[in-house]
Amino acid sequence: MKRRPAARAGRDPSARDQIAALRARVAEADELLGAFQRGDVDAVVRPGTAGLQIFTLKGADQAYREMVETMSEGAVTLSPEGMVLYCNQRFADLVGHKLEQVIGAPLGRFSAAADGAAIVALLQRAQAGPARESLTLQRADGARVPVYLALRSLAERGVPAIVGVVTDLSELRRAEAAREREHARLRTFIDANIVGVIIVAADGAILEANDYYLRLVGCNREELLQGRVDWRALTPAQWLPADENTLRELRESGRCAPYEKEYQRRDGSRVWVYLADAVLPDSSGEIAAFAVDITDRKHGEAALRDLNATLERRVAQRTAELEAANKELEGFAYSVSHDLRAPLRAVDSFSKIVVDDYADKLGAEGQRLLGTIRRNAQTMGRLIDDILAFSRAGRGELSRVEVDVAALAREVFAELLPAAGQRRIELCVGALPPAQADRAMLRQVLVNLLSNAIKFTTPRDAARIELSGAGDGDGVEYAVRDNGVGFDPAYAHKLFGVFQRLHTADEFPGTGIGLAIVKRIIDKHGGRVWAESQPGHGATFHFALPLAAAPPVTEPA
Amino acid sequence: MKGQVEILLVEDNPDDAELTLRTLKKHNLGNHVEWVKDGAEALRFIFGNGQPPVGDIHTPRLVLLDLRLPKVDGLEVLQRLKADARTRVIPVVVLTSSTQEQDLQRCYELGANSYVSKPVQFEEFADKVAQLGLYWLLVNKAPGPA
Repeated sequence: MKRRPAARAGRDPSARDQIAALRARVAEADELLGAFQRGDVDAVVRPGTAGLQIFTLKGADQAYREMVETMSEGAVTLSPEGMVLYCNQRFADLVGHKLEQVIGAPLGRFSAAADGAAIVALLQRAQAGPARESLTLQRADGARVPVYLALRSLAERGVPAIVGVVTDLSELRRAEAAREREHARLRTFIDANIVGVIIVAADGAILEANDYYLRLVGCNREELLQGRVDWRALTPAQWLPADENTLRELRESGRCAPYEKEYQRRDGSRVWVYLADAVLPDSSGEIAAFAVDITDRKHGEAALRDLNATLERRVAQRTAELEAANKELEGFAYSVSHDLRAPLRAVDSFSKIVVDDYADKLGAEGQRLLGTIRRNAQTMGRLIDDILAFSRAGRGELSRVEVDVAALAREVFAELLPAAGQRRIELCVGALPPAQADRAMLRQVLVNLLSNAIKFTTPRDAARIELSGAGDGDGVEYAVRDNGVGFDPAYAHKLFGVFQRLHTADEFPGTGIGLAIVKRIIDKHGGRVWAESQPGHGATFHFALPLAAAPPVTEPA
Repeated sequence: MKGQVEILLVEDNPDDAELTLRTLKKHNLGNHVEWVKDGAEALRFIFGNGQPPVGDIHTPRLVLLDLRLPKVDGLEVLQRLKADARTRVIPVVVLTSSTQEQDLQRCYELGANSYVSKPVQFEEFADKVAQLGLYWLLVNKAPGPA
């Protein structure tokens, strides 16, 4: 700006006007200066030798420039024909060319061949207003980049250019593809119809269902799509309260524990299902559910229950029958005990009275004969007593306790000894493991075995009875060995039978019930009894008892 | 003469009754024995017909009681005797063929004073009966009638 106002004012007669004009220009200049200072001015455009010259003020547009250069979208300025006037580095990177190669080139060069027409159309639309389009760019290296291109013409603002922003959609597309793959997998799973899958609206209408589910409930897809299938209509009334509980649980926690229920098909048939529900997130309360047909399993279970009930009934019935039979036997034993002994007593007693009161008339032979009658009556009395003892042995519940067998044996022996009179009998008790047994029953076993040993050692000057034993994890085993007359092992199997005797009553008294009682008691404990001997060399009786309670062995008839 | 009865024998088997009576006699215990053949008769003997005067009852010094009896069985007789304050003190000896544990148990629960099973052999039987009679009538001291 040149300073010439004074000269002009001196020549011009209307100096005042000039001064006024000059003042106005000074005011204008001041205002302009103020605008510069305030940063209101980005650039000054002046006519120059090569047309308009643009003077920009560094600092004023710095922020905008930085924003454009560093933004993660591509930015581009195009001529109305689509020539790149300007672009940021990001745009150049997107198309894979150097910045200077991009500027001045037509935009269409960077698009995939198929999108050429789309770009032309987009540019045209941009003249009329904002225009956007998804396109594919083709990079210099041939790679294709999906992008979103938004264009806007600046014509309204008096600038003959179009600005554009390019967003790289690669990540988005990859994520979409991943989602689609995921969805496809889920779809495959659902369509495989391994389980029933449904989506239910909050109001109960079934929105979606796979074929499995439709088969399950006996509906077709058309009915489903018409919204005519409601799970409540499929549910027998008895299950509705349980379903309400499930729904409450779903509302509160978004899921529920899997449960079983029944569906009722339109034809009235019922089907058992195993269900698991979950509320779909980001939905208006829709529920996804899996349903599995468990009808066969349920019927199997019911059949099993019926079978069990039948078996239990049968067991109860048999038990009752057995108890009745047992009671009958007891009644029989009672009768035997009471009614059979009375006549025998009469036979014996009146025989004795005859012997006493009519001795002189009978003579020796008559007395002998009556003696025989009496002896037989008494033997029969003993047999009856023994039958009763045998029927009582091992009856009733076992009450297993730990028994000190050695102490019990000594106690029993001490009780038996007086009956043996002046005989020399020695009992040797080794270190014995304790037994798990019913004490009273085991006592009976020892009484019978030890009294046998005492009886069959009668001919020995020095009788010796040894009691030994051993145990392991399964059970314990004891042996009663004597130095008595022994028995012929050929008949060992007969030893434990009722009224089986290997010696005559003349040799050794007895009815042959003691060992049968021993066997019965040991059997009841789930144990085993056996014997070995050589005639004249003593006998050994073994019995083994399990440690734990074992089922009693049924006694052979 | 009921007033003089010392032993009431309740026994349905005439043979057993004969043997018992014979044995008691032999030991001079048989002079005041009343033999009845069933439980109903036994109760009638002791309690009368149940007609007034109710207080008029007979209290023998010993009752020998069989268990299996026609009409009213021995257990019931025992129960009636021990349930009544007037007859509770009469010694009752159960003399039976039964060797059943449950009978033994039940009799003692009902207050039997003794339980003796009848042996088959006569000597044993006679010995037991004699011991019983001698013990309860001569050895034992019982309270007077209530």
